Amino acid sequence: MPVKIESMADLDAAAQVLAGDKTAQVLGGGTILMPRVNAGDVALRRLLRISDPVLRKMTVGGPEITIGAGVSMADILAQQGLAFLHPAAVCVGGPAIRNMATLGGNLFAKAPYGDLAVLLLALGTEVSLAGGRTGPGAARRDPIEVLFRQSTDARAPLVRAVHLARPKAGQVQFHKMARTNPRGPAVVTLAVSLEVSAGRIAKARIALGGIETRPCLAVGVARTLEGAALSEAAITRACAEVLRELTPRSDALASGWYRGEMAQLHLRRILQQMM
Amino acid sequence: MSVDFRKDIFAKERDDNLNEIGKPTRRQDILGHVTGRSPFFDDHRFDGLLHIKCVRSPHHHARIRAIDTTRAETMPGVVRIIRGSDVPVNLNTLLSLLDFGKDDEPVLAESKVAYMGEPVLAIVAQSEAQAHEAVAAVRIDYEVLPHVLDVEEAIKPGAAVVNETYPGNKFEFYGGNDHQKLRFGDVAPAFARADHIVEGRYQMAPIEQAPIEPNGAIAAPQTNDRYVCYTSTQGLFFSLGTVAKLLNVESNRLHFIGGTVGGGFGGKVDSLCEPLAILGAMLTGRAVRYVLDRAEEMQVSAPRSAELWYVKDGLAADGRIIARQLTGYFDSGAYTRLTGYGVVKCIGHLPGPYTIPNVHSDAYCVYTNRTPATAMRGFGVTAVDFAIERQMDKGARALGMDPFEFRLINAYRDGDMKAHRRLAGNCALIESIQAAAERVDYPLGAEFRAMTSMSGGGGERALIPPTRTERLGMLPAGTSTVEVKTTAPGLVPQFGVDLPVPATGLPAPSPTPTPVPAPKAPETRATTYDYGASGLSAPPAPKEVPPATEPAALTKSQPGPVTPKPRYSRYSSLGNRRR
Amino acid sequence: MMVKKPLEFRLNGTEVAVFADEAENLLSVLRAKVGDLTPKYGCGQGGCGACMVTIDGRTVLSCITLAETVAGADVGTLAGLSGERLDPLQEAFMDGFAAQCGYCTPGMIVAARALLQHNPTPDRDQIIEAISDNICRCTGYEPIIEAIQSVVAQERAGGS
Ligand SMILES: Cc1cc2nc3c(=O)[nH]c(=O)nc-3n(C[C@H](O)[C@H](O)[C@H](O)COP(=O)(O)OP(=O)(O)OC[C@H]3O[C@@H](n4cnc5c(N)ncnc54)[C@H](O)[C@@H]3O)c2cc1C
Ligand code: FES
Ligand code: FES
Repeated sequence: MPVKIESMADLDAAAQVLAGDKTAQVLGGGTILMPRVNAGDVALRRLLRISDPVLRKMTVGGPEITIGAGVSMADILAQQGLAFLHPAAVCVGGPAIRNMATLGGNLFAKAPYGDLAVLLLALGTEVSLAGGRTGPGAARRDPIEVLFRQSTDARAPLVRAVHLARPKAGQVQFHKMARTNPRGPAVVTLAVSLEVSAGRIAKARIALGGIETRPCLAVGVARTLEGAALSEAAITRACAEVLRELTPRSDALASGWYRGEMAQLHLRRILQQMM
Repeated sequence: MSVDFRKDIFAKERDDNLNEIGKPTRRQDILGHVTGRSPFFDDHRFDGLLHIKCVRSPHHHARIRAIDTTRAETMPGVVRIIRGSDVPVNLNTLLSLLDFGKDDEPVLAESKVAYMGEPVLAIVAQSEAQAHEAVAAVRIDYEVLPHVLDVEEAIKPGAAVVNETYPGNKFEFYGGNDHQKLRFGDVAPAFARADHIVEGRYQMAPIEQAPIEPNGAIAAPQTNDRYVCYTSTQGLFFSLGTVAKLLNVESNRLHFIGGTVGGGFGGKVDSLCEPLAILGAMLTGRAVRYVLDRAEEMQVSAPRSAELWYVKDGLAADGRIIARQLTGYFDSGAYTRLTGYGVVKCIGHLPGPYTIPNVHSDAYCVYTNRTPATAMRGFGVTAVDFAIERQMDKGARALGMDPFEFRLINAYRDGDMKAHRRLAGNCALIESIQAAAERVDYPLGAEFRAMTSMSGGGGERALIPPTRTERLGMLPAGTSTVEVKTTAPGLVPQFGVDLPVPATGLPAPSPTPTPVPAPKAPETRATTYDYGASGLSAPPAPKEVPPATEPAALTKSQPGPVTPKPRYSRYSSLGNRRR
Repeated sequence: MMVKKPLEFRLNGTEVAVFADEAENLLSVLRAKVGDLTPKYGCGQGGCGACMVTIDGRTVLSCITLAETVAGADVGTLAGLSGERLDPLQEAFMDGFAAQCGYCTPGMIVAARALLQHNPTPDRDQIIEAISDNICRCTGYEPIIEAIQSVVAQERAGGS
């Protein structure tokens, strides 16, 4: 049986379908799923097109920002209020890809993709899920990293939106290192968020893409920074921790060794910029 | 970007007052390109068009025990499943048309698969999606065999036999040689007296040509017991000849239409899609389309071969390279496409654009359980150039010299004798290096800025040194080629030495230029036979031997120095020219 | 039987109605069903740009656009660019040798036209960014960038 497309107007109804059928998947912008459809991937059986407007909703004005999972990179780039996300959104493919690619799809993209997801991870984003085990309409929220730890394609929960606090000026830095520019899949993607109080780093979150199949947090590296002032010595300590904590993967783009070197290099550069 | 035409360097070479050559002109096909109306093969529509997708090997090397198509046959839209046994002549080698190599590759594997992605079945269905579904429903029982993916491993005794036609995993060149040789002077004493020895091992990965239009063909029956085939091939007649052989049909029953090629770069000479599209049309009586998708294009359409090179240089303290030894292994993948031919081209390119009095080179074409490799731009020379130029950097470092200046010292001057016994002409490497240095403000010493390729060559440098060969010992100075004369099968071969090269070393220009016919529509009915483009426009004549090499066991004697001439007009099918 | 879905949209300003196969992509519908052969298949993965079209004025890769999502939308292809006269971009591509095999050219020109629609005076970097979905394997990007720049210069001169 070839893949079937089903259109659904209601998010929670879609969540019910997903919960009941492991072969069903949500279709976002399709930039990852459609190539698989075209290649005749027989593992794809049911794709749900969800037209629920809640997926395209953005609340940007207040202290808490909410972005629907169906919002595209181009939509984010058109929002001045989301300028802190632009460095990541703008490096997802070229302009036509960005017109199609959604935030929701980016959360489920596997390495070398998922650039925006890495930045969202560093920002301590939460995700709200639709329906499923928690019942229709239930607004349970999980830290975003829960998503990256659990989900495989088939069992992915349906994401309604992401929620995050607006970062302070200078709090967050994002780097993507690719072999081709302006468009190219990442060798490594790094996002660092530092909350500083009284000259000391109160809280650090360091997120990396490309290292594992999904975005990951370098908790140990962050810990070396916390409580200290940002100095060359602190940076060196943090960089030295990278390979103690992480084992970068190898693929056709780069070896694990090279990824490790680049992760350290770009971590150093980011931290120096933030000094 | 401005282009700097240094006409002074080539003043002797060409007339700059020609009507077309050297003058900007619009491409004749460009209006079609910018309006999207150029007729690529896939821009032809047919009612009831059928589509082919192949069942491919998931293993590097395996015996096929059984094929079960029961479920696939009854799936919606499936019209026909083609097996190897349906292909009339299911064994070919691409250059059999040039008598180069033995038939070794099936269109569809029957008894074993020798690389991952090798096609086993072709499923003809009403839509691509249905063909994909049926592909997934086929069950093949494989007995997995040991495989070899490394050229050096492949030629060790006891290695897995990749290709039964060549049990030693080495291609056989004309005369049964398992490699191509180049001998010039005598490297051993030169290494002994060298001030520095520099050695290097260099490896290049295969490179996919990656044209934006993939390989593909659409074939349809015509009313007159003929088949029309729209194709992306780079060599229309080459593909036609290949199909005629594989399907055992007269070539006048095949009407190939092509010439509008969406990029090729060597990746579209292998005639991968035409045989199955036409066979599909024959078996179903309907129009059949077979196009590689991008994943197939990357995985199974032949790339440029990987190469492994060992280079050893003997350097004099003053910066001259006095000896260079090169040993190369080209990875042909599982079958013979054009890699062996690339090796022949490579050997004529050694030792790079430098005048070196003692050169020794052996190059092998090796089978491994990788995707078969074929032609690509700079066929046979690009990878070894990488090796040579890295080696030049290493050499400069060993001498403590500037790498630009080290190259300038050794670069060919006009009139120098190349290792393959042709005199160098219009070299301009020196001028190119000077121009590059100038553009990036790279400081060259005054002595190096004053160098020119137009003087300092010839004289002593135009001579062929006495040359050491394994079989014949020392050949006297001035010897160009060596031949083996066999009087009858089974008799001990006699070795003969032919004449020195002509004084100029360059083939004399033909007194009356060949008129260039006007471009014609690239159809096989209307154009004269040629082998297309991309390294095939001037094939070596069969059984002739490039004069540079030592054809140790050639079976026929030749009447003197041989100048390879193109046998087929380069101009007969302009539409097929390389893009 | 394969499911067929009725689909209506506007193509270069003209209404079209076709039946799309289940899960069929827009490129396939345009080429095989509607007969607009100007968008090309290069990868089916969104990676090369040969199939680029616009939907409501925004560029997309038609090979990875589910056809049924364009119901009621305005689809634009290279075929819609020139009527009696060629688009200045087409002229510039011809003059500047910005096409060799011509396979990437429809996508390149669609991308360039979409850029100039939104930003009539892009600088070089913006041009590079705008054609970064499009791969050209033959021509080299420089003549393409220069051809687009020449149209920008021309339109600036004409407009002032
Ligand atoms: C040429 C090209 C270049 C690219 N470059 C980049 C790049 O540089 N950086 C990068 O990060 N990515 C890149 N990508 C990948 C991809 O475009 C992006 O990651 C994009 O954000 C994926 O979103 P989508 O909506 O297209 O995903 P889809 O293909 O629609 O979906 C992808 C996966 O996410 C799931 N999904 C989608 N929405 C939801 C939801 N709301 N809830 C649960 N699951 C959901 C789907 O079921 C599917 O498993 C590129 C892709 C292409 C083709
Ligand atoms: S064919 Fe659509 S992007 Fe390549
Ligand atoms: S002109 Fe051939 S791909 Fe661009």
